[in-house]
Amino acid sequence: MQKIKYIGISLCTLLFTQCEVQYNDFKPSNGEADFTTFVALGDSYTAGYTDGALGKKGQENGFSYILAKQLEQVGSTGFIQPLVESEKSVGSTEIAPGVMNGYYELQGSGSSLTPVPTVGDMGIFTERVYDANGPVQNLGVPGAKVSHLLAPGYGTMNPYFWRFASDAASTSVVADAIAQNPTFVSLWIGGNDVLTYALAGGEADEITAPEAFGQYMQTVAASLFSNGTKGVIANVPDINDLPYISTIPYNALFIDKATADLLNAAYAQYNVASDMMGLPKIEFKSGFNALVIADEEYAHPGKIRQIKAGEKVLLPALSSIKNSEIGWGSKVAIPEDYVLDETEIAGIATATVAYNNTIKAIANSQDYNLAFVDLNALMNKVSNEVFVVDGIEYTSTFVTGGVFSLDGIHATGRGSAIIANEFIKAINEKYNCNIPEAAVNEYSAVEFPDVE
Amino acid sequence: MKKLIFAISLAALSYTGKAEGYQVNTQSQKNVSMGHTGAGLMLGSSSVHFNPGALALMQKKYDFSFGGTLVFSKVTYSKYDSNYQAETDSPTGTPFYFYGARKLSDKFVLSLGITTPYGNSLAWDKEWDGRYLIQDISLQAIVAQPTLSYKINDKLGFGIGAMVVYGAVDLNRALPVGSAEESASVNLKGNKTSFGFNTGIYYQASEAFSVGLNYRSKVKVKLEGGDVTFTGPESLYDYAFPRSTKFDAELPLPANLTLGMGYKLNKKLTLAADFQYVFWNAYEELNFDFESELVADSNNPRNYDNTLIYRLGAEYILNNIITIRAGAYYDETPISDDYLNPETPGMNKVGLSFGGSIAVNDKLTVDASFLYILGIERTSQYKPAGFKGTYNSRAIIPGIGLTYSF
Repeated sequence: MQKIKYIGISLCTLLFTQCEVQYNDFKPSNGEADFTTFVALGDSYTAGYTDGALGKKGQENGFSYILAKQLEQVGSTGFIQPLVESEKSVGSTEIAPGVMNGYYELQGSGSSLTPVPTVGDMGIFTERVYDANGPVQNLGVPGAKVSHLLAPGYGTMNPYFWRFASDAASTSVVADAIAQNPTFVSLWIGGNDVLTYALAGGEADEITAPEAFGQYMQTVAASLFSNGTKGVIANVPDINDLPYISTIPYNALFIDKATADLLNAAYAQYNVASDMMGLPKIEFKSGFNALVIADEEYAHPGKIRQIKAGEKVLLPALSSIKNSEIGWGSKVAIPEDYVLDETEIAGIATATVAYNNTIKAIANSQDYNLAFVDLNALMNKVSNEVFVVDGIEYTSTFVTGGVFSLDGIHATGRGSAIIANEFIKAINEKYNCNIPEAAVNEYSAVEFPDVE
Repeated sequence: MKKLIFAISLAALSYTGKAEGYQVNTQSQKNVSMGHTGAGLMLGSSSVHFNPGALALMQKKYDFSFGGTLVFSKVTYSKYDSNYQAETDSPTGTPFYFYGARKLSDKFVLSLGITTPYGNSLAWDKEWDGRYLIQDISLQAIVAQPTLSYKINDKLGFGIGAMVVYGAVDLNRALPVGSAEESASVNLKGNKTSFGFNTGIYYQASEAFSVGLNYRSKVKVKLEGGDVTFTGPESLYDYAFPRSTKFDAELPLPANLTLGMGYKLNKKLTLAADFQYVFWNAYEELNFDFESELVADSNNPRNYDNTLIYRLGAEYILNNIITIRAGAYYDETPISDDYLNPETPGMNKVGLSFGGSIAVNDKLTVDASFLYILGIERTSQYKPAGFKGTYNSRAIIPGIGLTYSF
């Protein structure tokens, strides 16, 4: 009896203590790469710009920061960011004379939910966060194009770079990167070479010529990587995958019969001229209608027409289209700087393809030893396929899609983590290392208001 | 907006089964300690559950037994290609059983069983990585089974009982639409009484050898008008989701066919083996219909496979007072790769058990059991939600009960 008791008790003890539930521990390794000193070069995406502005929230949810945090598991000694000291943020749209926007926030409720810009803190542009003892390793500069990374004194042109440049008047982004003797470099640049033009409806700035882009890109790559420094390079997503470009369909004008009749009457005179010139009329029916846009190049003396299926109306036109008092796209033509016509679209598409060929060629070049991230393919997948991560289905839908923030261009924290994981996959494959991927659900998403 | 909030892919209600998924079988301490064998044994009134046919051969006039069990279980999750890890903090399960059998005549035995064969609870942290699949779930089922057994001859018995199954579910799941303060979530709650049957035949081939075949039918649980409650940012109510609505769902508790054998090696030692076939393929999909137009109905493939559970047990009568028992089983998971969900982190399991009875007098015995279940590490994903990782599990299950017969 005593013996049985004894055996019973020892068995219990054994089971309770020896049989703790196991985990499958991840085994990080740096493989053939050295992540000791990691720097990231790029534009607003690398900087952690989100919801239309740069602020601490975005910097701590940006893709380069998320990537850097994961690299700490495989030898990175840290990642110094030019963190915004203000509690606020600052963007690049002037909302009042001398005042830039801050983060966009959702206001309203239900179908009236709208992103509204907060007031930016201009003081952020006068924060100098450069420290010679700990130079900044997130060298992402909002607004930067490829050529800007090479430009000495770029800090005098771009206040975001001025904040952390070693010497704003003379240094370049690339020079500040090289000065740190990085062992691993992330380079994602080129988006703004078409995007700055696209966001202006093709009416300001210009597309960087693919030949020039190629030369700049080769120079950047040679400066960073020709000494054998390892790194990762990413390509440029198609702008059509951005909510800013894709949210408003060409036939967004939904009206009833009565409104259609009124509009048809209003355009009667225009249509007389159309008939005479053999040009398409402007016509409306009940249901969905092509929007009316301004087009200075158009043969019709009215210099307006209905938009074609492949042409794009930019996101900021949305409220003026919805507001029937203003009547953009119906009573009034949408101004040209809110529209990308087919010529502009084609120019952007051609340039994007050429840029990405250049980037791919650099990634494949024997002169360098680089991992390649096909972000164009990733964004395409998000836009066009079922894309599910850890229980959430992501799309490129504005506000609710999950990947893009309230500016319709930049990523949310979770979108950034998805991007960072694409970088990690590419690096792991190239250098036979084992960097843990980020848990996407730990990062921020669009915030919905609690109170109307 | 509809698409954003759901598909509610509530795999949750898949907690139905026999042992797998911590549907630990604890229907009698005697049987538990013998690897939960029993279809080919006559161990007393617990045959109501294990094989109503065996009860026909009951010797005593009355046999009552009841008992309770504590289930301490833990599941761990290690995210695929990541160093993220999590573990459950599930409340202690408390299954119980009661059986009473009375010999009506030489031929007939009337009995009643009340068991909790499908109870379970699983709780992950509210903010864990898989919160959009499941935060926590509690499933309770109580089966009442009035049973009649008939002795065909001195060696052959037949029995059949009606199963009245009361099932209740309560689960929480996060939704990917938060405010600055809190993330959104949905609670589903419902209960339903359903019916099935349990039948078996038992053959005492010789003094030493007995064999039994038990069939427990499928039970279709049709939840109707269950409560759905949403918690989320004020700005999204009645737009992305209603404050509350109703849901309907149907899921099958699968049929079981068990072949059991008992062999008395000598006066003291009895060996038992059960082969339990579970018709899991009844569980093809789980569909939810929501009353509110705002919530999209959701269809979730399950594609479970039939499984076989192998059980072995032994009983040794030490003396007039003490009987000791031990057993083991191997339980296959019905959940195929690509459908492994943290709501039901199914994996193949090994169960080891031991226990015993102490006779207090010639009528009353105290039965105790100890069961240890080790889940065999499994790496897989729930593909519809893109959620992949490695799961490990373990359960420690002590139980105690009384048998009173005369």
